[in-house]
Amino acid sequence: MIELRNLTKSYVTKGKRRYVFRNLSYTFPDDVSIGLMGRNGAGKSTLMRLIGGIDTPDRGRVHTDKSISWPVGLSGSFQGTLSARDNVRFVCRIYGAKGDALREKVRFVEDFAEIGDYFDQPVKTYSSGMRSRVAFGLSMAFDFDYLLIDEVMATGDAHFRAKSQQVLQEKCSRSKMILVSHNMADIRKHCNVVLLVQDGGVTLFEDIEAGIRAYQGDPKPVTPVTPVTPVTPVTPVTPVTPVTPVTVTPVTPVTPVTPVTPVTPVTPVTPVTPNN
Amino acid sequence: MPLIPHKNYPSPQDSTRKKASNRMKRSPWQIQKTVILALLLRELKTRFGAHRLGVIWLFLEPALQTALLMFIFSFMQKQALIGIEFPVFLLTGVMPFLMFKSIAMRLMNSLEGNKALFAYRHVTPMDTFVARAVLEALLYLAVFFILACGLIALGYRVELLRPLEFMSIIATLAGMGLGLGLILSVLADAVPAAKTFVGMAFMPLYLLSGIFFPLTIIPEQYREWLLWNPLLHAIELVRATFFVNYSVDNGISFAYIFSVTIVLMFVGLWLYRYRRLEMASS
Repeated sequence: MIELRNLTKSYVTKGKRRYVFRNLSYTFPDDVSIGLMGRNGAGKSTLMRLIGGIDTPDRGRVHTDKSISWPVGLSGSFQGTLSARDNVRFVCRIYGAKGDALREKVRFVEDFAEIGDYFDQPVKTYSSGMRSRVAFGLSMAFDFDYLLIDEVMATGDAHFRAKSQQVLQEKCSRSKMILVSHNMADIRKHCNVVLLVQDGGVTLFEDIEAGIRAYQGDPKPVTPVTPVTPVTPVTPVTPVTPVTPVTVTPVTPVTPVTPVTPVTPVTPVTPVTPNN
Repeated sequence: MPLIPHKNYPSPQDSTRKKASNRMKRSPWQIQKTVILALLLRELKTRFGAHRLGVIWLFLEPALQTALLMFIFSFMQKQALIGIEFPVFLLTGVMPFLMFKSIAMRLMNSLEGNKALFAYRHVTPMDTFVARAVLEALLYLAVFFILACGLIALGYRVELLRPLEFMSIIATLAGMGLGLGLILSVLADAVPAAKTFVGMAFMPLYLLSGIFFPLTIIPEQYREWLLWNPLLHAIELVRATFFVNYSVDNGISFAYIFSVTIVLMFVGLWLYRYRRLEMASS
């Protein structure tokens, strides 16, 4: 169970406080992999960081009895002067592995990363590809109830990508995912439900396609600076319709197709006007 | 997507799955312990830099200071202190001071070096502070004893008369460093420019802490001013555990440094509590 209780999170930018979430309460459905979707800046990553305990809410709390990973593939936390082995050991220790379990995990990461002797060289001498190999392997060495993934599925060369996809697939048998992605293919492949993050609230779609449609039907124009999906169609079972940046649509009320539990953002001031 | 065939990677849990499944949830105390231990080991590896020059400096700094002070004072008419070996006297002053300074300064710079670690949810700024403080205290204690052994080898008499008292003074001093370090780290996080100033502030403190003079040679009327400095108390107390007939001023008290430690810790923890979210966010 992951439960958000009166979650409020704001950031101060240029002296102005901007609220990402205000008094958000929500209980995540159990035993499903969740795809977090939403516009840039809607708060997907923030929500993920809050769930992962990387960020702390201003008020309220995230309540859970599940083990939740750090963002998969995180390599920024590696100490440059230490070797990958030492960095991996450190993380294993934090997560309570010692003795044989520790050695086993280190060996797993070493085998998985396939960077040879570099494994014992300082991390600062690595290429970014090598870094992410180690980082991804490290994430895979643990059994979390939930894996947090923030669009890092496409690192490394083809061989490594295939390998990581496979391991990730295996992981799915015992771990669930919370996946932040603009990539429809990834969402379709890994997630059971879609959680649309929008206007400081979240809406759950048990039907993936419905969720994706709702996400695409967002009448707000996608910020043109960042094209939303560099969709490399991975599994083109259903032809992936690249997100057509919604051309000037009149403010059509978004009809969330079968929104199962439409969690209305708790900002009580505005009545339910369709998309502000 | 057609997977490129490759060797099948056994998940590391496969063999330990059984263990994992009936794995107990770790208690907060267990987590705290493992995190601080892991940080300690990590700090130990990174503390001295890539080329291990730091190790040399760790020994050289107190040794050089002691030697330099000896050199300077050999030209002066030094107050005869009966039964006190001068280099031992200096070392017992230099070491506690350096330990305190190092704890405070390294805590102040702790956030910079460790910010990325807060992505692992168990690691909090406080863990890094505690780990650093413990490591510094242990390192300087070790250096102290090694240098003391060096002095013995050179033919000086070094005798720790009351080891328990010595340890409790050092522990209190380390706690004081932790308290001050907490305050400084909050300060440095809020006002980064303050760091240089803090470094400079330790200079006069060096002169006022009785590292190269016993308080008793200071005229009575000035003593009460110097006695405000808790480091002076700590150093005088440390010396009293080394020398049989070391006369200590009546104003010197363990209670004072203990209260200062409590106050600094309180203020430090309060500030930390108040600012911990800003400090942890990267």
